[in-house]
Parts: sequence; C-alpha cells; structure tokens
Amino acid sequence: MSVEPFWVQINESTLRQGDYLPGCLVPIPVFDPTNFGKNSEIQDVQIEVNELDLIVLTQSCDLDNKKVAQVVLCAIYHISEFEENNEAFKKKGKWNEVLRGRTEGLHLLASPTNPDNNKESLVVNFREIQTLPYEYVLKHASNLNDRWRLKSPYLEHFSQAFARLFMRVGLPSAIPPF
Amino acid sequence: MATITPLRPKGVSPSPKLLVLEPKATAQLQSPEGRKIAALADEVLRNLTVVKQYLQTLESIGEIDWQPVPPKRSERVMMRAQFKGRKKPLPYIFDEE
Repeated sequence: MSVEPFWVQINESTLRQGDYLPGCLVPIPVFDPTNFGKNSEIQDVQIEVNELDLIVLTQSCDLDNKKVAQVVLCAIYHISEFEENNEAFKKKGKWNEVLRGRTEGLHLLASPTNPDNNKESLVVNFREIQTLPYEYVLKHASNLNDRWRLKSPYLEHFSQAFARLFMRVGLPSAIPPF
Repeated sequence: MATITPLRPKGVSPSPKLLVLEPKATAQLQSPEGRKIAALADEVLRNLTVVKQYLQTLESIGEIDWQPVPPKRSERVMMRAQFKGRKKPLPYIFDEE
C-alpha cells in the first residue's frame, strides 16, 4: 500500500500553518535578567543561538491577515535523530503508539521525499515550542527557496493533535477502571 | 459434546448461545473433580489476564517520557543590547464588519 504525500513543495514568500522550516536560528537569553535593564545604557550580554528545524503552528488566517507579530513554531525531527536521544523509542512498537496518538506531545508526519518508508518519518515535539518574530521567520522561509508545506487533511490532523494536548484537563480523581 | 441451547424466538435466527459455557483453559476435563480444576484454571487465567493488562499499562506509562533533542548547532555569542523600557500593548485590530 502506498502512502499519499503529506507535503507539497513550494517556493514562495508566504507563511502558512504547517510550513516546515529547517535550520531556523533561535536566540535564547542566557544572561542574568536581574542585572539587565536597570538603565537605558547599551550593555554586552550573552545569548545562545540554537539551530532547530521548526514547523509553523500559528493559524494561516492569522498569518495572512498579519494579526500576529510573533509566529508560534515547534520542533520537528527525523525519527532517527530523535531515537539517538531517546533509546526507548528504538523498541519495537513504540512508534506505533505515537502513530495512534497515545504518546502525549508527539505527532508523526510522513517523510516529504519518501512517504512509503516509515523509518524516514518526521516527529513533531509539541512540548518544544518557540516564538519568533513574523518578519524574521518570513525572511528565513523565503531564503530556503524550495521547501515543504503540509497538505490538507494532514494539516488539520496536525493542528488538532496540538490543540488536543493543550486542551487536556487533569482530574484530581477518576472513576475506578471497570 | 451435546449442548443445551435456548429456544429461538420466531423470526429471529441468531447463532445458538451456550447455556453452560465450557471452560477455556481445560475443556477436555469431564469428571466433577476435573470440572472443578477447569473452573479454577479459568479463574486463574482471568486473574492473570487482568494482571498482564495492568503490567502492560504500567510499562507503557513508564515509557512515554522522552528527552528533548539537542539543537543541530548551538553557539554562545555576545550581543549588544539596550533596554527600551516596558513594551506597550500592541494595537488590537478589529475585523471589518
């Protein structure tokens, strides 16, 4: 059985939900916030710049209508890369649990280039969220030239999985299992 | 082995339902002692199934956690920054009606 493509290749200067953006540079402040901002003098501070592959989470309509100054994105990895740090996922059947939506915070997407090979799939980590300025992300996306955009209905499925993680409610107690 | 089945209501033709269920674990035991052993074995099997399901649940709960993947590249740099004060709220744009 062959897998229908999840992605469409694009080359345009627009941002949409589900845009796959490899190699984003994400600055993280590592300076002591209590020693900064006492006055308006220029100061030298240390930041950490991380290179991450990200996927856009902000709704396309908000991006289209410039309703947001910041874009919400989250980390996306090749599953082989993810397994290097998470040996437990090398176990047989573990990715099937993710595929069925039973592993909170992780979501699988087929490979853009070889969707039939599940070993080349991508895994989104909804617990690793970043926000970056709209113009910054747009510039990076435009500079990538040919890039991948998630197609419907895989896009809505991805968006729903993110929503499901955030809308979950923990109860203090529950009816005992039958 | 002959089995007792309930009378089928008119117009309904389901598959016959056994009134006396055969033990799953040791169906071949027929003597009174044998049936006792079979019933006991069935109960043990049921309990073990529940324990197995519980252990599987515990195992899966224990495995769902994971570590974040480190970035492909990470560098610490010095940045010249100026504190510009507390940021004002952005203007809220209403949809055109």
